[in-house]
Amino acid sequence: MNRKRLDYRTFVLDRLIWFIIILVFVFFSIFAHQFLSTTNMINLLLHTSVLGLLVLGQATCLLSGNFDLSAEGTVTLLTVLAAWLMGSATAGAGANSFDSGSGWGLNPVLVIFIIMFLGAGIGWLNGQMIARLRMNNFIVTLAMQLTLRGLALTLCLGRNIASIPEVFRYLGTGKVGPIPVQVIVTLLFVAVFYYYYKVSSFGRALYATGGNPRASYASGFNPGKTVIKAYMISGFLAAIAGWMLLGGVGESGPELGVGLTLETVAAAVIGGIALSGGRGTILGAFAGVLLLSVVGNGLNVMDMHPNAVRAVRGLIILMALIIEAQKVRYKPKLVR
Amino acid sequence: MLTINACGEISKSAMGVAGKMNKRKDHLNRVLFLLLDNIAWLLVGVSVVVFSLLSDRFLRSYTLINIIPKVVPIGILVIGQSFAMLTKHFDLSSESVLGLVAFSAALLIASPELGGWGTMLPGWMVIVLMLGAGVLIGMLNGFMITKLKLNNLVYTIAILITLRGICYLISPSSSASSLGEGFGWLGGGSLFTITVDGKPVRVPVSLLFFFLIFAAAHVIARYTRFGRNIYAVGADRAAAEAAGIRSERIIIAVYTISGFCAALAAWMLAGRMDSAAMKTGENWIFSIQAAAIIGGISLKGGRGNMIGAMGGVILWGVLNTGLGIAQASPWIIDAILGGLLLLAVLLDAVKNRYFVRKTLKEQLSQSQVGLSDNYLNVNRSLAQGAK
Amino acid sequence: MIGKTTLWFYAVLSFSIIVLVSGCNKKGDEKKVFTVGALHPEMNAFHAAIKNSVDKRAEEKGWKIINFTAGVSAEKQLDQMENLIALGVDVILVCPVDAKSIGSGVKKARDAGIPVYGVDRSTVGTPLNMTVQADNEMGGRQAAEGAVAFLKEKYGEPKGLVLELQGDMASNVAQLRSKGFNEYMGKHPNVKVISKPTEWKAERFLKGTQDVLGTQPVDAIFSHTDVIGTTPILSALDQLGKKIKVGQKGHIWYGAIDGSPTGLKAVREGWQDASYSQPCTDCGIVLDFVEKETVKGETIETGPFVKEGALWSPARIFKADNGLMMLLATTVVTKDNVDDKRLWGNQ
Repeated sequence: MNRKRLDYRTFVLDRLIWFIIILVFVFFSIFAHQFLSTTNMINLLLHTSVLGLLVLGQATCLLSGNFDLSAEGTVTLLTVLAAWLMGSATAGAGANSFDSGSGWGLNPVLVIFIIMFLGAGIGWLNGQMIARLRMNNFIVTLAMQLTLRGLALTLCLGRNIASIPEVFRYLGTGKVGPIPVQVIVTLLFVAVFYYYYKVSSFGRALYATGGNPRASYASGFNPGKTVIKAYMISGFLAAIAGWMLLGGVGESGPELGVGLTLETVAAAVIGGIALSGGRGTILGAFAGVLLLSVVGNGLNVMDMHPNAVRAVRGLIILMALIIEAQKVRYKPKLVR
Repeated sequence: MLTINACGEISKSAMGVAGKMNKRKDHLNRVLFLLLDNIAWLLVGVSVVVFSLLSDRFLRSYTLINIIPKVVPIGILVIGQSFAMLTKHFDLSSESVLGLVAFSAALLIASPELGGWGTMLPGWMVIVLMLGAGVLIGMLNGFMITKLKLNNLVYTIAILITLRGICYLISPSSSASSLGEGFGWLGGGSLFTITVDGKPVRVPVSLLFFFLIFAAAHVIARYTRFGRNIYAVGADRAAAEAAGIRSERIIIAVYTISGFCAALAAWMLAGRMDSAAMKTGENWIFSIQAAAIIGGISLKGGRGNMIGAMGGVILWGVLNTGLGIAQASPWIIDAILGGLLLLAVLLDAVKNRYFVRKTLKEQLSQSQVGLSDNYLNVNRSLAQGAK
Repeated sequence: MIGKTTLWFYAVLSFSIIVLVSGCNKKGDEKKVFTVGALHPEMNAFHAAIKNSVDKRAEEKGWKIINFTAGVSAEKQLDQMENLIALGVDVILVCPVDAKSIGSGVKKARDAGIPVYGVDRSTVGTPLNMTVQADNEMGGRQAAEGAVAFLKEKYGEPKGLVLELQGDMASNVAQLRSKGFNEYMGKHPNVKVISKPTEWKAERFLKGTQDVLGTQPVDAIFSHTDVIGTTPILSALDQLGKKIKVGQKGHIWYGAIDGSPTGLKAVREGWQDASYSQPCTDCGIVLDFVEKETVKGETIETGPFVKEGALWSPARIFKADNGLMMLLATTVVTKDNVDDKRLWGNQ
């Protein structure tokens, strides 16, 4: 009798985020006109895709016990760089046009490989500084974000480069039937990473490192290498997210990607990733993104002023944080 | 865990145990650490020299007098942040507290034609309300973090987003200005006017205030019991608790100070700009963190002092003005700040490793336990980085 | 206590700074060139066109120009204003990030005896010597006229749903564009306007369009800018399957202010109905007035200002409560006149 009740409670606690999503979803279906229409549902999934990829990276780093605040800087720099590399100097019209890039007009496929490589490279640099030089992860990635954005601004001088080839934009604008390619790609990534972290030795190393680095070292894992790899994954995913975002928006600019980091941390926390590391799942983190998107889209559809939406989202993050912290304190009592 | 003396100085008795060779090495290390601990002031000196070489406009009285007033609001936020960091906590929400307090104050004072709500309250009343609101928000932050055991980084980020959201929510979509002479005296008024080369140059009140408030912060941190308790909690919370310090109270107090500083900075900034907008103070965290860390406030808590933090703020001011006068692109300024921040964190990490190793060595030389002791070995391997 | 060594350190440091600095403190040759300081809010295609135009005029007159870009931060712009004063410029041109916050900076420049002129945007509350800006209210009104004409043709009477994607409402131009548009729309009560602020950010243009068009039957879209707005809006329409050429069935009317190369390209290709081109390459004309007022000491007459062959002519100069104001007319660009070489987007 007692045991059964205990199981039911832990079951709910572990899947709290999904219950909240269902609740919010039902709320909006009743009160927001046209919320359930097919176009809006596709919109909702569209909003989750870029953030979804970024949260995978963020969750990976958080699982290893580190923050990655540099991802949004990576997105900004790489989108600007990609647009610049692909731009022809005379795109647009005439001498007055600032709608131009390097003038090299590089092949889009090559550019995609370049930005993926650079994304992983930035991650590697972060990882080296944090694991080898033992610098504070929070501040290192914060400084990295600032530096990358400074580089992006210096590179594009504030211009918006809008001449993006169709091939490059396919990831952001293409569709398979009614479903956008970016949604499919994101869901695929989530599934692959969820499975990969469950079965692979890297997954086990990740959880062990985040949970207790000393014990993980003692049991034969290499915490330093694991952290570096986690950052490389995060940088790589940021590159793909940048590719997706640039394809969707269609023009690069120094504002692209700004403010995404806080949302990814928030989503991961809402989704049950512990900030101390080693606890939570990829699926939970994605659920966090889903919740943020449902709330954002729902309030927007209800025609609430965007400024109010901002405040409400902040409050939701705050609530999730409090619930998460109380959950951690409540659970041991249950087990006892 | 290992504790480190508040000032970062190693006790003489331990040095006596080490041999003559070590003594010389220690002396060298001390000089090195003197430079590292005061890196902010060193950089201030270097940059002043470099900028005077770059532009003949840098060493003019107008330029020099206006370096510090530009960074007074940031400086006051750095004081709050430094207190929090000394206890090994962060307050990332301070820029939003500043924004919300400054903007709502402007809305309360300004006339409806210039973007206000139309209440047009007198300046002194609004100042009292501002400081009160800052203290309340800070206290609330402290309570939430200690009583509900929330992660301070993410909690303050959430507060950052929420307060900025409220700021946008209450705004009539435009800024509010013209806040009156009395309200703006501290932030934008002038003490007296000096004449240089036939041109009048105003000396701002905020220049004097900057030094006064840093002096006050230094006295609190260094010469009071409360200050010593802050260092103790930051260095080792458990040990401090064991010694009878009520760490939760200290942490709440520290967040309250940070909230108060944010409100004070809001007053200064609104006075200086004679207006405030919903964006006021957005993206300042970076500058604040950078100034505090370059100033030698350790990320591990319990180490650093307010004079160093002041050096960090002045360095930021000199760079800001100097690069502007040298007509560098504003984005280069951002990139340089990022680079400096990285350097400061690296120095902090190096110092920490050194102290951990040093203390371990002392423990080993003094302890009765054999060198093959398991516990110490594990500790050492961690200290040297798991390679 | 601060240690003895530390005190020594500070003493040596300050002494060496004083020695080094006094060594290099020789005043350079006093400059004779008339220097203009210009403050820009950001540097996209539109503001770059303004900068180029001012640069060109200054070069023609043989003046030196110092440009600063504020990265859309009002605080940074105030700092830059102080830097310009410190640099000892003779006149300051400003395009404020925030129409009210710049006031204290303008006062500081006045105290230092430097006149301040507005380019493209003006101040609120603090008068400037003079402002040269496009007639933004007129642009908004022209867009409203275009949208209403389209709705009339579609339904036989002006009714329907219009999405207005606003810029940053802290800038006076966004306020004026919105004012011109909504005043005209106010005369047609059957037309409903949904307004979404975007703060001039591409992502918010994209999401705003997606969210509103995904749930509501919008007939027309008006964007405050086509420099930033056009590409994301068309991208959103494409994803929703509503990107249909002008004149075909199911087309959603789309008009935007600015007349940038991106906007003109969209008009030429038939995705955008109209662009309302601003004469930003002629904003440099402000320097003519600077020369007249500040250098020669003459007064500027109010009234209409005509220049043969210019698209913005006739402009009008009048006394507003924020100083002298010169408004340059905006041009409606449709498929018929999109190739006009005088448009800044084609230059």
